[in-house]
Amino acid sequence: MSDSLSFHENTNNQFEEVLKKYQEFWKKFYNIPKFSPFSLTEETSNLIQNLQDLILITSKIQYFNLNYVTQINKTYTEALDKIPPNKSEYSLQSEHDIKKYRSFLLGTLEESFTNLFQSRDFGVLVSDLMGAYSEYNKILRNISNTYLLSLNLSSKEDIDGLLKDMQELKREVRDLRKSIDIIMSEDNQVAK
Amino acid sequence: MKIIKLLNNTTTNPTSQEKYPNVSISLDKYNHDLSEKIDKFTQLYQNPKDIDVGSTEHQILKETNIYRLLHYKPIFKRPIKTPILVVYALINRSYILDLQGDKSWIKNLLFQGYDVYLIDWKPPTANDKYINFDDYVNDFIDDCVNLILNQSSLDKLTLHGYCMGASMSVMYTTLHQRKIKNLVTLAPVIDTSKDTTVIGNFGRTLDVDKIISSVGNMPPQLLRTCFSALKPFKQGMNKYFTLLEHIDDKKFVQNFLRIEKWLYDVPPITGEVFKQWIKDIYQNNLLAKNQLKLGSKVIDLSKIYIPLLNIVADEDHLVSPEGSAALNNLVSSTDRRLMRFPTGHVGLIASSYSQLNVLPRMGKWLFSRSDK
Repeated sequence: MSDSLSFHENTNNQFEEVLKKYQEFWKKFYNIPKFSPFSLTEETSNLIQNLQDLILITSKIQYFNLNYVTQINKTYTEALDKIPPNKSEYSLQSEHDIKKYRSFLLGTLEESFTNLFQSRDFGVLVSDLMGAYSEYNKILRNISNTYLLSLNLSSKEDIDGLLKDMQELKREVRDLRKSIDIIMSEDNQVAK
Repeated sequence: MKIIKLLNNTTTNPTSQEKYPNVSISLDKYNHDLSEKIDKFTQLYQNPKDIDVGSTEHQILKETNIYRLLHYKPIFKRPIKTPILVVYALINRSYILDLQGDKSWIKNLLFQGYDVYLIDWKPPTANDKYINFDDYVNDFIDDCVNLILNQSSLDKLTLHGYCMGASMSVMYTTLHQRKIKNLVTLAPVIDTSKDTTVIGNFGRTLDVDKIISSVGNMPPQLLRTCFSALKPFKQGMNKYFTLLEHIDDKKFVQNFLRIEKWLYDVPPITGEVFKQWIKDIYQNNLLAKNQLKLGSKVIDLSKIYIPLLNIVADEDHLVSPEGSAALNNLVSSTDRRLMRFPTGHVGLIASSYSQLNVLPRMGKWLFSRSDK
């Protein structure tokens, strides 16, 4: 990947400038009083914060997606450039020619794309992209949690906490059960 | 653009038609046949449930929400005494080991006289996201081993794992060696510093905490995205051309569809297991460094001293053969053997090649080390 566009690394990026301006704009809005008659409720403040984050992460996803598609297209074009269509050996005059050409075409594409997929920069880009989607889901969850709590329902975090405790309890029971088995088998051996 | 030009040249370009009139007719026929074949092709992919897999006779010894322990009906009245417990991976489904009669890993072992059990992992649900390797190894695999040993009144069995299942078998053996007579691994993920695959590259750079904190379990869609980057053209695309060429060959089509069904039958992986797999094994290489921890116990491969057979595919593009082969240098077994075969990750277990080359050699190695 020659044009590395890792979000965190490329400081001179126009996109980051736009994001910065955007954040500054919202910062002013977010500075409204946190208490007093002029304040918003905590839920509304959280919702505004979440919506702001959602817009921000959507822009990042767009950015990473664009970078991803650019890399794929670039690799594809570069691979096609390696294919000599006018040479007589690939003149496509019979079914056999088509097969031969197809094999050559796929081989060339395979080589270029495997080089791309094996590059560290592309790995980082995939990680950034997946991370941004995960962040997006998380913000959506935060928004829905606000409503769940107002309806007196458990949030995802509450359920996660319970699941984690249950799994730890299961492990403790398992270890106890195995300790008992060992003691019992030792007792049986002594009895024999 | 270049391709379009080329295709146009072959069929509609008048100069070309004048020059090669017969060729033009034959290519028109080729295009017509191709569109008919594509129609048949789309019909084939309508109902994956109709594709039969895993047909070797078996009974379910135990079933929980995490796994099913299968016992295959022995072919011989008195099978070889030491049973084999096959530990399948948590990626895709275990029926690849019993895909079809003439390419079934399980069936071949039965015909060699072995008594075979298999752990068939079930897809985890959102409630299972905190299940980790400690649970898989020290709870689920251990329960299966105990059940088989109790049922057969034996002290030891042969543990036999594939891919991630082989890595789990290795972890299990370090902690419960007294119950294992032989360890047979197929393409285990061990030393990831030697991994040069695309999966290894993605694994090393993935921010797994961020992803798992959002999705809970690693979803099949994301796993499929990663797998689609493995040989995307030579295997991912070329195989469909081959299918079109053989679309009227019923046997070929059925075999092809079975593999396709398996390839796209990707269950989620529990969040905690995926985190350990990526962070501990791919990013920090803790398994090869003897620093991997399951619960409070450290996995020290040098503690393995039982007979080991490690089988590796030289053309494996999913698990680097060098990373798998490293196991033989990390264990203390004096009776250890590395077998390398010029095939791929799936070809190692579900191909005519494996039936003719891998299984007979593995069976022979195991026979001399099993109680009769």
